[in-house]
Amino acid sequence: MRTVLVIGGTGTIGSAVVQELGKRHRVITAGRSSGDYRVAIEDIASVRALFAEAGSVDHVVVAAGALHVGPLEQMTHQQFRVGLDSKLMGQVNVALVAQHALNEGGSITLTSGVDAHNPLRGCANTITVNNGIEGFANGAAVELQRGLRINVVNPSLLEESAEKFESLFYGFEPVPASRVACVYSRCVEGAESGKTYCAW
Amino acid sequence: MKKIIVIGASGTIGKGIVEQLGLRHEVITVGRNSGQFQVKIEDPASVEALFQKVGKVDGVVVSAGDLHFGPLAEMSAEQFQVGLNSKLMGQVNVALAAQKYLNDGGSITLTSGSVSENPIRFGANASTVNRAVEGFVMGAAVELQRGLRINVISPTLVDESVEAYGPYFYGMETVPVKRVALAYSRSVEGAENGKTYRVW
Repeated sequence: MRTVLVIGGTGTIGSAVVQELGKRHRVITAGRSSGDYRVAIEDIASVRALFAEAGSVDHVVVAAGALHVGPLEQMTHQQFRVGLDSKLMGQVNVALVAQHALNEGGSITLTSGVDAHNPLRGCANTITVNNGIEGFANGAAVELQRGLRINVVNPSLLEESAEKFESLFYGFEPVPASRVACVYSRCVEGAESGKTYCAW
Repeated sequence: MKKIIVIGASGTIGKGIVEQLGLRHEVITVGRNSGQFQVKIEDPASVEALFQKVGKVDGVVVSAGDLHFGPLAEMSAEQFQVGLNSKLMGQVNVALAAQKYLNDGGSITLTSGSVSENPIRFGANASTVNRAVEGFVMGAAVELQRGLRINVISPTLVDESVEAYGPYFYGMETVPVKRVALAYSRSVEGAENGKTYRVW
């Protein structure tokens, strides 16, 4: 039994990950306004404080981060920064801190999204950010020390969120959160590093 | 004959682009401190001012933007922001403005780099940013109006830069700038949209 920290642990994906990994591990959750600990991933000092409070952690999973969705034609610099500062830099902040805070042989699992490989209208920011995250894991994997691993889960539209996001994803086959959670388990409990696992 | 802006025109690759496109087109050279016009791509107001001065064009090429190279274990959030603010957001700033100032049927060509797919030590920031730029192009391509196109060139290390960057890239075959410049010509003068042209 290892200790797994799930950031975004009360979200749709996060709660499924907690349920799956909770079968075999001690799971602690963190979130902006819910979970066992508070964290704002956009602020590296807040991420450092989280790891200091959480104590000994073997694996960290991030299923959190904001994005901007809207037409390219009207997109502003400020709107584009939303995804860069939150979902991209936020997850990078967690990885930069976790590489020192995690126990030896641990893992970092980040989250991208299906549009990284399947562009959608209104998603220039999300596609940029999701690709950036996959690139980061690919690059960071060759440098991590102490047997640490890093991977990315690329989930498709979830059945549980289908109604909310349907209009962006017409024609996409939604997947149940429980199936996506299995993919997080592969990252945490598997042997690979630098990989993007697509859950679609 | 088309009117084409090359941002980063005095760089190693930029000079090659100017030479290649100059064979058939009117090329306007732009740089941070050199060229016919100056711009700071990190600053959307500076990018807007550039297009105001130059007016309508048929092609925009960006071969500019800073990255941070250094060991992951010592990387700070501030260092990581270098690439996000400059090579990523800088090129996005240009594309967001260019979509308004390009003539119908015009093109935007951005620059990533082979580290997006072939990670190297010290390259976590470059892997992230380059992959993100490729993602942006994929996402923006499905939304551009008026027959505009957007592509990205992913060059490997060029022969001309071996002295400066060789030790990062041992074992990777380098390519002459002349060959890289041809890929920019394909992007500007070809018919494709949303594509990453790899030159390695």
